[in-house]
Amino acid sequence: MPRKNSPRFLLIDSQPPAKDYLVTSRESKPVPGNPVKPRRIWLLLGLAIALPICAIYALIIGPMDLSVGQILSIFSRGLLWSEIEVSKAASVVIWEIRLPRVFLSSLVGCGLAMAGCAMQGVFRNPLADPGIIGVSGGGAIGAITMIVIGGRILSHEVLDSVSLYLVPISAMIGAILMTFLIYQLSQKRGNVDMMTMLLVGIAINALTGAFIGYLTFISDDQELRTLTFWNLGSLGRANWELIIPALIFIIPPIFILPRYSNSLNALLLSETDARYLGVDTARTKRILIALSAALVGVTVALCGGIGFIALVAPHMIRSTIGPDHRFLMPCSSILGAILLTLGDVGSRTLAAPAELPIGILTSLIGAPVFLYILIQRKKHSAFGA
Amino acid sequence: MIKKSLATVSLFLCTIAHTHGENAQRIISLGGSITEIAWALGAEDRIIACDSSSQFPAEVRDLTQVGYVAAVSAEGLIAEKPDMIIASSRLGPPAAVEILKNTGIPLKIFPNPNDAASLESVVMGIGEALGLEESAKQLWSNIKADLAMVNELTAAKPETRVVFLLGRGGAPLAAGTGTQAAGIISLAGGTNIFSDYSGYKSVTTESLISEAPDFILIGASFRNPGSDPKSMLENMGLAQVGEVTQAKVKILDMGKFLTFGPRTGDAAKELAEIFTD
Repeated sequence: MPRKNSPRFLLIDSQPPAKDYLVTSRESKPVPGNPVKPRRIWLLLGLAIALPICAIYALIIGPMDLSVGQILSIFSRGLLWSEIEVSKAASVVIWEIRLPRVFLSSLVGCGLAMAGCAMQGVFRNPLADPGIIGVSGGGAIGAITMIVIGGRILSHEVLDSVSLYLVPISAMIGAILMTFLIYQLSQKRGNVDMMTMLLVGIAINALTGAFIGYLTFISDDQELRTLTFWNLGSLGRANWELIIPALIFIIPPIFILPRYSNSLNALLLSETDARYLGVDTARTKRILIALSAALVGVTVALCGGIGFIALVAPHMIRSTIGPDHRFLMPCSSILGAILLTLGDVGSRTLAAPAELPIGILTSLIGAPVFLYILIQRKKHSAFGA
Repeated sequence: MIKKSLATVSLFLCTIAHTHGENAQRIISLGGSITEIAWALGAEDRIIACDSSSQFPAEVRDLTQVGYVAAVSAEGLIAEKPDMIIASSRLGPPAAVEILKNTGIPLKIFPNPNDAASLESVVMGIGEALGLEESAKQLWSNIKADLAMVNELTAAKPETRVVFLLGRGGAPLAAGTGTQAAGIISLAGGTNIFSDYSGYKSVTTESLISEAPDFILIGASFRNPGSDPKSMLENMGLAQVGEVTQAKVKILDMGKFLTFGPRTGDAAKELAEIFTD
């Protein structure tokens, strides 16, 4: 929540931090007296228009050939009680497959990118992708623990009705605990040590591997097949029942996190500077970590580990308009929604009539971006920047 | 609420309109056993697509592939415009099954057969679903006759202790109860040494040695036919088992032996002959 001693008044006229904690581009060089450049507003507007267009595109495209006219008649029949004849199969495809998936991919993409922004801000490192540093792993551990323990102590009927909510909550707790652990471990003289952060990620991903491995051990081979879910993610579970927990758990953090963009901007300078600017750094970081990790945990519980959206979306925005979180956060989250929605179109159509796990696509695009950022940073440090 | 109840009503009407599937002409068949049985019943011209576990007869590999039976895409299946889907109970993921049930396309799910009784019920069930009851009766009586013959062959034999192993390079998995491997071993008169767990589990070399199997069967698929039995055992890190125990090592074509269907009678006979050697 914004507080009385919020640093807003200090930052409104100040420039986005020039210090090179985050990849900055030429465009983000300070321009005196022009704190909010129109370019950013245009980008935000453009993305806000692009998202519904992409969503409509995702509704139209799929393995089943449906014309725009057919889709319109399906909607008019469903919403307006018109008497147009539509085939049962076509209306199931639209109402129960494509529409929930578009909603889920937008929500999850949005949440992941927003969480990525906040985490990269807190860790002051653009490589802080929740998949790589182990936050998603923590979420998976939480979710799997609940699934296994829940399966032991609850009856099937009870489990079916509550697991929609219990599993995300447990995943949130897992992700939050893990993120605090990662943050504590990677602290080095008041800074986040990148090497330690990545190494902790490796360790936690190994632990996640053990949990998934145990699940493999106790499950029959039908369930086994669904285990790719935890590694590669899938939006295939999307239905209206799943949208409800997605809305409940994803929407609030998405609206709360941007309120901290000024604090995140201050944190970019350094923690000491942020404190001088009036930011209660310890409290702010706790809140940011909790909210962003919760977001990641929920997405893991709903769609498995979809990698790299949280890395790629903020990176693309940052290299266009710079690291000012007031714009970075909303722009990235909309871009995340767009990327995941389009990615899901690919996952549904590329191997049609079979389905390609979405994580294959996001990792294929994300891993090279990760390497690129790594190389960029190496160059910078070589010149002592 | 109103929308939901209307949807239910329309769904109900759709099911009525479609209950009779004997005339289905665009069938999607999911699951190796299911496809093989449907094919043998004479539905080959009506099957338009199958999953990746359907590999026999060779012609099915030319059909449209819709992915693996346990990981299908609902829209992918619907897009093929089937008028019936027959599938093994492995069909999944659950979300896709839920959606398929709502489309009104007749969806028949059969257990994955792993013994004589379940094979009979699946053969008859598929025959009924496709309106081919007569050929189903014929097919089952053939299989039954073969199995009876195998029974005679093995009736007076001492216990043959068998283990079925799966996995190339890396720790092998051994078949427990409820698996097709355990089913065919028992049909051929053998005893599966691992009967205290179900499904496939990785087992230690030690427990293999202490169970002292007479036969070690190693699964191979047509994509991966395997080399000679001895080196396959070595690749699994089980060279000692071969040396310590007197077990004979054989390679088993999983397509033929583990897909319960028209070939099961022959497969049981062949395996029984291996055991009598």
